[in-house]
Parts: sequence; structure tokens; C-alpha cells
Amino acid sequence: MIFHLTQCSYSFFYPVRFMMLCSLFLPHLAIAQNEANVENKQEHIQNQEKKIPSISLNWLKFKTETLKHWQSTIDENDSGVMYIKYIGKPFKYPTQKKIFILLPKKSGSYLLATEEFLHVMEQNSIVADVTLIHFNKDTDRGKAALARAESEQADLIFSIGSETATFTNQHFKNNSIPVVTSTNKDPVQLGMLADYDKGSGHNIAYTSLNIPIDVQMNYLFTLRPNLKVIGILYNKNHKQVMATEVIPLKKKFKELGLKTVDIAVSSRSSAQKDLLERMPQAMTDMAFIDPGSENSLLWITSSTAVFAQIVTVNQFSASVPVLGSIPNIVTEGKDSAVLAIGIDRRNNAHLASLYAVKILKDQSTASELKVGVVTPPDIAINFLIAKKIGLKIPFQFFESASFIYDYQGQPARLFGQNVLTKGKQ
Amino acid sequence: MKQLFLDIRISLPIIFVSALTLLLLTYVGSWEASRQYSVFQASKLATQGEIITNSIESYLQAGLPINQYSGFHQLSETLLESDNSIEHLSVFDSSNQLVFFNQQSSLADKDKTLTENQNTSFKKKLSQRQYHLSETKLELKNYLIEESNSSLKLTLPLNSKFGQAGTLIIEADKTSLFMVFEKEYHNVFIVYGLIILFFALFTIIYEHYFSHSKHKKSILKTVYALSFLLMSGVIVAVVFQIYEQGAQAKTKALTDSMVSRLNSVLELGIKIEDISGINEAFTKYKISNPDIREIALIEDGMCKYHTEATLVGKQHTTQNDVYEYLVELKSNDQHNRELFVSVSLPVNIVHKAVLSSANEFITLMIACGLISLIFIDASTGISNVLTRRGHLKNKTASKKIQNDEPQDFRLGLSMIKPAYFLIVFVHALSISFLPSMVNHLADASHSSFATLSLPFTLYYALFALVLIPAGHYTEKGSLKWIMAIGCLLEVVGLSLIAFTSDYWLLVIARAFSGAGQGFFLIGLQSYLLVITPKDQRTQGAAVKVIGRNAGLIAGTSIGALIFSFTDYTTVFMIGSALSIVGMIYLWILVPKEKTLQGENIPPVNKQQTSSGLFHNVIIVFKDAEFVKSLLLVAMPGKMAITGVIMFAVPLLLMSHGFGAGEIGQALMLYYIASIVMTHYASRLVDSLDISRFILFISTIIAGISIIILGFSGVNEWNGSLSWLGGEQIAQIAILFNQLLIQTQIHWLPTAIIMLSLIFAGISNGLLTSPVVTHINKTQVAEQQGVKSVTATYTFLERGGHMMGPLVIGYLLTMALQSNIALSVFGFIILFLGIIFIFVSRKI
Repeated sequence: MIFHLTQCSYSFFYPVRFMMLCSLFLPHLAIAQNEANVENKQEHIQNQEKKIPSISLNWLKFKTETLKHWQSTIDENDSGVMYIKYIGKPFKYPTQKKIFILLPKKSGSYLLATEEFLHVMEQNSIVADVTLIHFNKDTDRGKAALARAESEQADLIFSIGSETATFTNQHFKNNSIPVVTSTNKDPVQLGMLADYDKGSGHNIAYTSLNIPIDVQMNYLFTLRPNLKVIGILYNKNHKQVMATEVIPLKKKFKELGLKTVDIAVSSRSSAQKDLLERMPQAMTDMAFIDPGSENSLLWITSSTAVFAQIVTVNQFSASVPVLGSIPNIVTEGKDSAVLAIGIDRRNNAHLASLYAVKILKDQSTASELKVGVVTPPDIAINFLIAKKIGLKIPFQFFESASFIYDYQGQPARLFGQNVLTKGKQ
Repeated sequence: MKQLFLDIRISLPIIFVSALTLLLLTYVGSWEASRQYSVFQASKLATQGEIITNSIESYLQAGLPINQYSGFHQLSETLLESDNSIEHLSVFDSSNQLVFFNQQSSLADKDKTLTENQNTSFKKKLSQRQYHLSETKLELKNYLIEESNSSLKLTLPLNSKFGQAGTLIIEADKTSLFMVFEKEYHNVFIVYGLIILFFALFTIIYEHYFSHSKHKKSILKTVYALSFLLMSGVIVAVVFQIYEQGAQAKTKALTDSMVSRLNSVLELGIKIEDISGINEAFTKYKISNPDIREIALIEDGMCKYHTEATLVGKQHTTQNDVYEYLVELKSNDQHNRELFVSVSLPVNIVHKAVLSSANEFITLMIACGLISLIFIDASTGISNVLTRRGHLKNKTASKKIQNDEPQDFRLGLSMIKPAYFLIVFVHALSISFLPSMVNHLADASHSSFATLSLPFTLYYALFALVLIPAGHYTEKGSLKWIMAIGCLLEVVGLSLIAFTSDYWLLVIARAFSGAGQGFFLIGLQSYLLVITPKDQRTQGAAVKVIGRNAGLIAGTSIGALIFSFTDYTTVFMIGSALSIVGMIYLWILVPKEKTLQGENIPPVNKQQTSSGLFHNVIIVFKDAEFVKSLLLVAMPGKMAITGVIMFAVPLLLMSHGFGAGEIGQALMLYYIASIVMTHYASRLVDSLDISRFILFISTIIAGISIIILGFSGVNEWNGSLSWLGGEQIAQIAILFNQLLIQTQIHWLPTAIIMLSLIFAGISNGLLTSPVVTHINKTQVAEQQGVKSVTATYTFLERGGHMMGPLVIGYLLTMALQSNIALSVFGFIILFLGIIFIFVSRKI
């Protein structure tokens, strides 16, 4: 009763698709750099005696694909206001809605979030009349934007960025217009609502860019079942990263009787210097707790200041796996973390857009929608690094990984699609 | 030669009936086996579908839209090539738009791109198919399984991070899917043909040479029984083979699925060594597919990973008691190591499958056996008639008919038995599913008057009411006519239900059926009284008991089986057709009572059936012992049969996840227990004269068994029936169920329900005959005559039948549909029984 069968392989080559995927991937990688630039600029701005930054939305350039369906016009009198109208094929059963999008600053992630939002609206036959306002973290300008949304009887406000989420939470809670937040840090850890299991009870529906701490711990223990110590790399001046990632992680480790080693930097400009100073001592401290380094991990938070310094981190990490909370930290080549377990910004924007659709189509209300967390998280793996440090990747991680780089550090799977398989034929 | 033709003619009825009953057995076996085989095939299709859903979902998890997935064609092509039964694989997005489609190359020219026209034509093709929900269910996998006339369709969800992003449909052609089954089962039909040929030859030869034998009937029955057993043995053996092939197909699919997952690592050039958690993945896979015994990854003959930890690193060996499937992985290793995935399923899953069908087989074999015995009796009766006619014509002295005179009434008995069996049989066909059907229609009617119990109550009300006019008619009219009217009314009743989904028409239909059953019963009773000599009355009564019980057992189980394959319309149509057959049979083959009346039988017999019924009712109610027996024991007992067993138990069992077939089997246990106990109770009562005590024991057993039936599934008190001690009873029920949970024996609650039903059957057996004996000993019986009082009692006990569904329906409504209503009724029976033993006196 034994049968032998050799499985034939299946592989394809779709050059056009591959090119398309790569073109998708490149801006994705560019986000990291963009974020770094933005954070860098923030510091620069702070240092330049409150020089008012430009509110212009000229940087918000949509892809050709988006422009086939949507037409954008910048307000003649206010370059920080953009009007977006649907110009695609008429829908069979259209839903006409007036929507406001609020941005706090210039960011590549926000451009992706806006495009994702427009794409989801189109998919769901919503003919949205969108007014996008860059309020530049200016309270007065932000309040004016909210007042305008009220006076124009907007059906929904789509909040992009952590600053906008905080701002609407402070100034627009309990209003009659529903708000959906996207591309923002964990609202529970930031104290905006009590827990993940219930809706807010008011007009704001929240989503989160962070994976809940329990989920994160589950992944960490799957990778290192006997985990003893974790070195946490973060920017101590980044309040939101501190509140949503560092403090909860340290608290959880303390509860479990495990050790944490702080590897903090002060700013983007001093990050390399800080790391060069602190990494050797941190690694010594970790080796003291776990001499074989078999039960240790280094965790890079979403502080751009730190993850831009991956080369420096790898220089000292030796055989301790370096993990990050955003997928972008795992990249092609050797200057990458070995593994990332986090939420891709685009996926978060997609989920937030689906929340918006539910509200606009009266399928749910902002008050009853629970905190939107993308599940399972996005996983990225670099086997070049894994092989180098002798780390075995759990099969469960491998199966759900969206991004995989092979032993040469070359892309093997991008956006869940095998790249090598395509190239073989 | 002329004699041989006559012998063939004489043997034809018995050959015909034997052929029909064995054919029924063969088809019943085929239905049951195909049901289990469907589970294997659906399970195989589900696993094959999972190969594609796993791949698509890993893509969807990256947050990308489903229509950009590019691996569908290659994956689906591999599946279609490896399994010819798969007709097509299709992927639909969340708005139900067809995204990907691939079908067998034999069905259409392959075009890799799905054009608008193909999309439209495919949808058109699909829309032309009529699907219904399949009865096939998969353990631990909640996929939608549908069937059309020609295909089996599984719908698997495709989940992304944001919820369900689409569906995968895998549809297989039933003809290909069941090819193995049809091929194997074809052999059963060949064996069937051979057995019938042998039986026919034997019967004709026996008739030719030994027709004068005293043992003719017994020998024919024995040969028939041997043929029946041989046929059953062949069916079981073939079914075993079919299940074995189903299990092998499932093993292959499970292996392919795991291979596909592991190959996804190798395809990227990643080595298995650099991946951890393979064993955990194997273990999870085993948990989600509980039939798997072991999964192993074998490298150069050694177990690299194995679900049995102790075997890791050891030489791989194949066990004798497993179906093992080995598939080689696409090794990317430079050293050309051979990597195999091995999945093994224990051979005993086939045994388990056979055993899980065993109760169905045994039930149906009993049912077929009962049908056979009743009809074989009738066919030998017909043969005897033909023999006699043949002899009269031939005037051959060599063949003598022995015991001429008694043959007449026996012929009548053996000929009327199938007719009665048929009318009870058609009534019993719907017992297992009628309450849930009524419940559904009552809900759909949105009328506050549409209660669950009304059709049941009306059925028994009409059953009782027609006894009076029918009784009057039997005194003067034709008994065959009155029975034919009964059949006709049953035809009307069953046909009405078959063609309607309206609650009120169903109520009317049940009234017709009740009246039909009443007319037939009164006609039968009179017929038996008229044709049976005084000293042979027991044989007449036996026809009633055997016909009724055999009809109930066979009808309930076969009706449940047919229902599990078709729908209620078909069951009622079959019932209606059988009623017509019964009517024709009755009219053509059942001898008229006048032709069977012996000279020693006084015609007054007819009048004893119903004359002065009302007058008798008034008289019997003046006798205290009669009233105590009727009100404290008989009527509650009859209410329990119709209210609890026939009305509430099917609903209770359905709420516990029992299918119609299993409900039929459970009720069969009740009937068998009842028949066996009736047999022994009559002897006990006659020999020891303890009718009062037996009746008391009957109420105690009935009370306790119904109380325990009501306990099932009660985990809280819903605040109802407090005035009848609902709270206290609920507390006992909760405690009882907690104790059951603590035993951690998962089958114990089901076993307790079955045991309760068996004991309810025993209590009914202790009631049926002893209550008549007890009533016959009352003063009023001595004064008015036993027959008159028995007839009056029979009429009055119908009141219990009628009130059963009404009372239980009321209690269930009061208890907010909690089973505790049954327990309350059980306590009432218990209480009345205790009163009976104190207030009644030994007579």
C-alpha cells in the first residue's frame, strides 16, 4: 500500500507582473528612507526657530493608475487643500459621499494611505467627493478644517497619521460626523480608549499600526521558546514609540520575569554615535544574562532614528537575531534585520478604508467598531542574515511571510508572490 | 410440462416478493454505502481545495487584491491532471465576480486568459445547475457542500487579513467521483441476480417435487433467510472494499496537500534544515485531520521529522495496519538527497466507517427482514391459493391439500397482514422528521394559531372520531370497503403534504391521514373478528400486533433513510404511492370476509365491534376500578407515546445533532423494547395474575425514563414552570448533567438518551396488554362482557393519544421550549402511578 509519486514543480514567468511588483516594491522600500527624511526634517525644523514649514500639497502625486479614476485639484487660495473627484466609470449602484481627509505633515506613507483609501472607495462603488487638508500640526488650522467638515456636512473624516488621530481625539470626539483613523500608533497604549475588545462608544473608529503586545510576545516565543533577554533599540525622545512600543514591551517582560536591556538613542543625528557607544555594553549585559546568546533577541522599534542605523546594529549584534516591528527593516542584501513582525502601513490604510466603507454604507457605526488591527501581522525574512547567524525560521513564519530574501539576500518572495519561481522559466 | 408451468406459476408470487425484498436490501446497502463514500470523496476534495486556498491566502496575507494572484493556473492544472473527477476550480472575489477558472481539458479547450465571454458563459452554465445543500458533513471543516444532479460542489473561503476576500469552488463530476463505487457495487447486483436465480430454481424444483410437504412454508422461509444473509454478507464485503478505496484517495490528497506546503520552501531555494517548527506543523495538520496517524519527512530513508517524536532519526518503516502514501519533494540539494513526505492513515478508519454504518445497516436489515417475512407469508398464501386452484383444475390425486378448513381463515390473516403493515408503514415513514418539519412550517406561517402540536392532536382526534361512524358502518357494510376508504384518505393526506409547504394544508392533510388510519383500523379489527374462529382469536390479535410493530419499525427507519437522501416531498410521494399499492392489494388479493367465514362463526361478531359505544362509555365510567386504570395509568401512558415519543423525542434528538436516520434508529429501539416486553408481560400477567402491580411498575419506569429524557441538555433554569416545580426539577437536571460531564465519557449523554428510550419502550410493553387484562377483570367487564368493555376502552384510550401532543406542546410552550417540560410530564406520570397503587384494589 505504498505509492511513490514525484511532484512536478509549478513555476511561471510573467515578466510584466514581475516588473509591476518591483515597481510596487520600490516605493515601499522608499518609505523607510522617506520616513527617515521626515523625522530628520522635524528635528531640523525644531532647531530653526520655528520656521513655518510649507503646507503645500504639491508633493502629493498620485500614481497613473489612481489618476485614471480620480482627479485632484489644489485649491487656488490654499495650497494645503486638495479636492479629489471621482472620474472613473459610472457605478451601477453608486453611493455619493462627502469626505474629508486630514494630514498632519508631508509623508510618503500618507500618500500611500490616501491612494489606498481612494482605491477602496472605488472598489466599493463610493463616488467620493474628497477634500484633503494638510493641517501641518497647526491646531488652529486643524480646528478650521474640522469646522469646515461640519459646515459642509461631511459624511466622514478620514484621519491619517498619529498626530491627526490625537488631534481629532482631543477636538472632535463626540461630534456627529464619524472619524476613522489610519496610519497611527496604538490608540489603546496612547490612552485614547480602554481596550481592544470594545468600540470607542463615540464618533471615532480607531485602527492601529502596532500589533498588540500579546500577539507580539507570541511570535517572539515561537522564535525563541526559552527567551531570556531582549535588547530594545529606540529613540527615547519619540513619545509615541515610547508609549506604544517600548513601555508596553518592558512592562510585559517584567511581568514574565524576563530581562530587557535598553539601547536608546537621543535623536536621528546622534543615533550612530549613541549606538556605537551603547551597543558594546548592551551586548555584554545581554551575554551576562544569556551567555550562549541562544535565548536573546534585539528588537528595533519603529523609531526611524534607530532602524536607519541597521548597519551599525548588525556590526555589534553578532549571533543575536535583530528583529524589527516594521516590515521595511528587512531589505535586500546584508544591511537588513533578519526578521520583521509588524504591520505594513498600506495594510493598515486598507483596513481603515474598509472601516470607512462600513460606516458610509451604514453597515456599522464608528462607535461600535473595535480597534482595527491587521491580523496576522506582516512578516519579512532575510535568509542571508538568518544563515549567517544560524537562525532557523519557524515554518509558520515562512508560510505567512509576505517578503522573503534568499541566501544571497535577493528577493525570493515579494508581496506574497514568489519571485524566483517567475524567474526560472 | 404442463405441470411444470403450473408449478412455476405457483412459485412466481414468492419469487417475485423475494426478488423485491432482496432488491430493497441491495438498494438500501447502496444508499448507505454511497453516503459514507461521499464523506471520503468530499474530504478528499476539501483537502485538494486547501492546496489552492493555502497558496492564495499566503498571497492575500500580504494585503494584495485577489485578482493579482498569479499562481492559480499552475496549481489548478496540477490538481486537474492528478484527479479526473474534478470538473473545474473557480475563484470568486468578495463581490462574487469570477476571477480565475480552470477546468478539465476534456471539457473545453484551454485558454489561459479568462475573457468576458468565458466569464459569462461559465456563469450561465453554473446558473443552469440546480444545487441543494448536501447531507455530507466534514469533521472539523465547516465548508459549504452542495450537490446538483451531476456534481458535488465545495465552497472554501479565502481569507485575507481584512476578512473573507473571496471563495474557491471545487466541483467534481459525480459520475467520475463515484466511478469506483459504481464499479464495485455493480458486483453486488450481479450476486443479487445469481441469488434470485438460485432461489427461483429452488422454489420451482421444490414445488415440483415436494409441494405436498408439511414443511414447505418453513423450508422456503429458511432458504429465503439464508439468501438474505448471503446478500447482506456480500454487501458488507463490497462496502468494505469501497471504503478502503475512499480512504486511500483521502490519504493521497492529504499527502499532496502537505507536500505542496513543504515544496513552497524548496521552491525558493531554501533548505528544509533552515526551517524550524516542521514537527509542530505536522502536529497541527494531524489535529485538523484527525484520521491521520502519522506524518513524516523522510531523508534518505531516515525519519528527519515525525509526529511520533521517538521515531525521529530512525529508519523509516511501513506499518502493516496503515494506508501510507509517499511523495517525493523537489529537492534543491546539491548532494541529491531524497526527501519524501509520508502520510499514513490507520486501516481501522475503514473499520470505523463500516462500524459507523453498522447501526444503519442493522436497522435497515431488520426493517427489510420484517418486510420480507410479512410479504413472504402473503406470497406463500397466494401460492397456496394458486395451488388449490391448480389442483381443482387438474384434479390430480397425487397432491392433496392438507387441513383444508383452517387454511381459509389463515389465508385471510396472511393476506390482510401486508395491507395493515403497509398502512402503518406509510404513516411511520415521516415519524423521524415530521415534528421538525411542522415546526418549520409553523414558524413560516407567522400565525399565532399555528402551533407545533395542532397537526398531531388533530391527527389523533380524527383517528378517534371516525371510529364511531366507521364502527356503525362495519355492522352492515363491506369491511374491505371501509379499509379501502382508509387507504384512500391516507393517499389524500400524504399527497396534500407532498405538494404543499403551507402549514394549514399540512394540518388538513394530517386530519385526512388520521381519519384514514382510523377507518382502516376499525375495518381491520372487524375483519379479524369476523374471519377468526373463537378459539383462534390470538392468531387474529397477532396480525394486529405484528403488522403494527413491523410497520412502525420498518417505516420509521426506511423513511428516515429516504429523507436523508432526498426531501420530504419524495418521502410523502412514496408513502402516497404505497398507500395506492396497499389499496389495490387489498381490493384484488385480500379475500372478502364472507368467503372466509366458517359455518361455526356466528355473524354477531360484527356487531361486537362498536354497537352502543356511547352507552357503554357511560356504563364503564360508573366502575371506579375502570376509571382509575384509565385515568391514572392508561391515558397518561398513551399520552406519553404520542406526546413524548412521537412528538417531542424527534425534536429533542434533532436539537442534539441527530440526523433523521439516527432518530429512526432511536425510535426503533423504543419499538423493539416495546414488542419484546409486550410478549413477556402478557405471559407474566396471565400466569401470576399481577396486572395491577405490572401497571404500577409500567408507570414508574415510564415516569423515570421520561424525566431523564427531559434532563438532557438542561444547564440552567429559564424561570419557567415554577408552579409545577420547574426550578427544583431544573436543579436536579443541572446536577445530573454536571455528573455526566465529570465522567468525561463523551458518549454517555447519548447512551442515556437511548437507554431512556428503551425503558420507555419497556414501560409501554408493560402497559399495552396488562391494561386490557386488568380492565377485563373489572366488575363492569363481568357485567357487560369483556369484548364490549375492551372496545369501549380502545375508544377511550384514543383520547390519551389525542391529548398527548396537546399536553406536551402546552408544557413545552410554558417551559419556553426547554426539555424540562418532559421531566415535568415524567413526574406527573410517576405521581399518578403512585396514586394508582394506593387507590386501586386487587381485582
